[in-house]
Amino acid sequence: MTDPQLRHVGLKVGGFEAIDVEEAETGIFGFWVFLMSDAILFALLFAVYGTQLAATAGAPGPAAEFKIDSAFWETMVLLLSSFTYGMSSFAMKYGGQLRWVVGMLLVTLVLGLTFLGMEANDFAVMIHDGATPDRSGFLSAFFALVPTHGLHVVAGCSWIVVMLVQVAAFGLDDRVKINLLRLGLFWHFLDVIWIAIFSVVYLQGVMR
Amino acid sequence: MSGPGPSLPRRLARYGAAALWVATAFSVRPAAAPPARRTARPSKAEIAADRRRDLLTYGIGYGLALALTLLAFALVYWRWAEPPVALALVFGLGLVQVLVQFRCFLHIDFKGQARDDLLLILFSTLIVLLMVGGTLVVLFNLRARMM
Amino acid sequence: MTGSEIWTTLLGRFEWSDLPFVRAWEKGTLSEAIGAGAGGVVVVGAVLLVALLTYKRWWKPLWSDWLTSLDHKKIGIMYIVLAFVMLSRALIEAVLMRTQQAVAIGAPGLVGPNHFAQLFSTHGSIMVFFMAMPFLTGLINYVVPLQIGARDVAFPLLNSISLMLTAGGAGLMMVSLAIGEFSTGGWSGYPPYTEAAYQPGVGPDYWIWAITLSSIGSTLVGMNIAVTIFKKRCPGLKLMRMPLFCWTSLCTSILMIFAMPPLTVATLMLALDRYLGYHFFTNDLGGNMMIYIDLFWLFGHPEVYILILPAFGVYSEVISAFSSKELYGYVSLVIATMAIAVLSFTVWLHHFFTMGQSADINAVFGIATMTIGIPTGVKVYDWIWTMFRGEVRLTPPMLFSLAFIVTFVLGGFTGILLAMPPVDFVVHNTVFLVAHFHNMLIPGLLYGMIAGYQYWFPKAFGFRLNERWGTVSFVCWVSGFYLAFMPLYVLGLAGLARRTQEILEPDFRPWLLVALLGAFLLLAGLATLFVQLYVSVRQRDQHRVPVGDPWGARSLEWSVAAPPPEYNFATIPHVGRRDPWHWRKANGGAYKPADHYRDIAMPRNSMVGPVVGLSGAVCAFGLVWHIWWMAAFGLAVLWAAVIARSFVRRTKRVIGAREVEATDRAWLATAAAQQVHPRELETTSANAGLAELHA
Repeated sequence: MTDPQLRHVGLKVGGFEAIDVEEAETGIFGFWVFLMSDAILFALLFAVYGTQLAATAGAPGPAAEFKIDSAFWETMVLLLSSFTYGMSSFAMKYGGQLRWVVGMLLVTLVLGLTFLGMEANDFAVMIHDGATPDRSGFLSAFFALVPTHGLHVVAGCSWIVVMLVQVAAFGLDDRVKINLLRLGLFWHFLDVIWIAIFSVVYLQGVMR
Repeated sequence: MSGPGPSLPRRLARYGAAALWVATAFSVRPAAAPPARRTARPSKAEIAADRRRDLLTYGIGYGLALALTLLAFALVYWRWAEPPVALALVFGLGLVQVLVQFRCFLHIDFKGQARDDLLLILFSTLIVLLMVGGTLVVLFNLRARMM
Repeated sequence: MTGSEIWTTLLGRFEWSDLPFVRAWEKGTLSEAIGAGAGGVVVVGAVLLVALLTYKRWWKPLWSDWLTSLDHKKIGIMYIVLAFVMLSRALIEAVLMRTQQAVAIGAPGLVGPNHFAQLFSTHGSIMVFFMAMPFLTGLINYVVPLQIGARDVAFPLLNSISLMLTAGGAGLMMVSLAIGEFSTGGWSGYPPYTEAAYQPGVGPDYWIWAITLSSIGSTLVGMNIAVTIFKKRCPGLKLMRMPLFCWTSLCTSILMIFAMPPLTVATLMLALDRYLGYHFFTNDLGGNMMIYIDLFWLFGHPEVYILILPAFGVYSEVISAFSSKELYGYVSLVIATMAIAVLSFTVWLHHFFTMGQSADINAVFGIATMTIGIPTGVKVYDWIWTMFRGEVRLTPPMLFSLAFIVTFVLGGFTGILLAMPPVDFVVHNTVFLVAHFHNMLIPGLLYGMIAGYQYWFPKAFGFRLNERWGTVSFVCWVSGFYLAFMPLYVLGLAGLARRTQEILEPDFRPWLLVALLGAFLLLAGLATLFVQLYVSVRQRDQHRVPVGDPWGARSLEWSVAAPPPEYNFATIPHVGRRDPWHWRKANGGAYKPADHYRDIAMPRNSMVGPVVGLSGAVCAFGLVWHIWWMAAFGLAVLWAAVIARSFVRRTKRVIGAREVEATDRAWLATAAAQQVHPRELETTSANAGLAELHA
């Protein structure tokens, strides 16, 4: 039984199986509300970053510190992970082939961890160069905005792990499916935020 | 404004191509949505059609996102445009990509079924514009008056 | 490891002199003695509470009937209990501050400057975050699901977590009385004064983490209420058929969702400055404290409407019920509510007209501010027209509503004055401003909450509150307000700066004495509320309203027993128009058994809420004192609890159709056995909750 209301999430819970449609819809709408609240948080961090761009106070500025190559590859990795998560949702929706669902989740997890590793390396290089957040208002703003996204990715990765365990324990039951859908929204949302970071922080930074 | 970047016609052609891509992505949707009947199971052919369309949406979304990222990156990396122009283009391309991802990965569209989510997102956009715009105006004004 | 290293590892930066008792012993001043006394009250109170619970063997019922319950009604009641506890503390602090200003005229007075600064900081923080927010959240939690014909909120567990996070923050505020000290930076905590350079102690950290816990709780509860109203309405209850309280709750919860993040961002940035040496708001190295002020009021202004809108909803319900008329201008009230909600995001700059931006920007925000007066004015006229030719009864909730209309309009006038930047420059940072916002928030929030508490109390507990004591309390609250705050307008125009610990102008003395008298009357208002509760509980057998409709009101919450069953409705109602309960009563559809009863699945209790709240508070306490192991432990427990919960599959409990039917029929039998009471007798024991029908 498919409820037309549910189609808007595009992922159609459980393909065409029975599921508590009302609960799924409430849960997913609720998660959208959470994401929008989170988006406000990021928007404000961006606004603060914008106002603090000039506040370098003699410390290393964006052009000197940002490694555009590294940021570019991070973008590619995260974008690909967004696609692989989409493939996992796709597999879940049509017949729920466990092999594909889990496989694509694992690929997404690996890509997410790769992203985190690269980002941690970037930060380590910056800190080694003396570009630490306590040097200037600009670096403070940078080290608030970008690591906040990073922390969200950490949360996303641990959520994937939890979901993998749940798939192993319960199979694809209703609650697992709803949570995979929410996690999907979260993961795609993080990619959207990263696009903004890549444009506003990195591309703008090296342009200056 | 005659920097080392590409000529205006070439740029325009590029925007046109981008716009076309986006239009394609947004137009990919069911030819005719099957009537929503709660009890009827959709036929195998319908499922297969849905399946193809969904896969295509993900594929187009990924391709577009990739292309837009590469374009923005190339603009800056090979300095195809002067910084102010390039900055505007980068922000513009970023915005387009956000829209693409919302459409193709997060499945938000202008059809009736996504109304709740869409309205929520539009309201959030309004609040973001007010907060971010207001913050930037006020603080840049202060900076200009005090520095 | 040396002894001091072990000490630091285990106890962070705690020292014996952080205990107010030790400080009072060492210094022996009156100010320290008062601080120690307050800490002592907290400690003794906690000990007595534990003793009482143990002696009465109430631990188990407290745990399994209340703390772990996911019932929205119980969660709502717990929120309101929390609000009353915190209100008592913050009101006592207010009286202490008024006393200080009245006696410290050219003299040091009772408390020192540092202590006085802690008093106004805790007073403001508690009143906003731990009195007002829990109170309105509690009312919304209790009433909204009943009004929209739902069995519970959308996310019952999240509801419990929100409550417990708020309670954890409130606990932190109480602990700060007995261990360490609180911030002296006011409720808004402006840097750079709250930066480590000026306040290296634990005070601002207590403020930061208490506020953070409460703001996260509020964001979550906002999401919950908004989704509940969007997705859980009973069949036929279109948005434009909802009671007005639901509308104002919806707008408040949307404001919570979008306005709490700026606060979270601002306080966490301040925490980064203090803990990791960032430079967001410092004086040097590119820090800019004006960013904080901007962020804080991006939250702060919508917050004003978060506080006021639910009270507007209460007044709409109360005035309609006690005028026995349908609400006048429903559509205009809805539009006005939404307009206020959106406009509230466009005026935040009027809180810092004097910060230095250009006159043009000030003018834009000044005009936007005045614009908000228009929808508010619309509401006032609607309420007045609702009473027009109605059968108005002056019960305590109605008295509070009437006092609100007059007093709030007065406060609105001074708000229009302050919205003009040139005027604001003159009275900025004086007690004129203090008088203005108390003039908005006491009628615009507190009166509404008290009115709502008195109005819905019989629904929640099955008996009415004593009206005589309610009226006494009303007299105290209203006369107290005018005596306490009208003098402050005068003093503000005369130039008395706010937050002044010692007064140097002897001419201010008479005004300050009057204000002190007002503060005592306000305290008497609270005391009489407690007396009212005590008396009403003692006389509950004469005041029972088991049928559940004591005021002859119009919305769905009155269509069930008082107190309502756990699942609210034996069968989910279907709604065809506005004021559905009134319609049912008028058309013979009330108090009828259902054709058909079904099993009802309700959420099981869960200990995740209390665990999350407690571990959140433990984590925050560790952060305040730099006890890193404790912070890490709290955080770990918190996450473990959430993850463990996601593995629980038996989350629902089924109540059999037979039990539902038996309960429902028993209630219907009670209703059939009761006499209908006429309006004139609704405040007497003739009122059994079965009201006479009236046009």
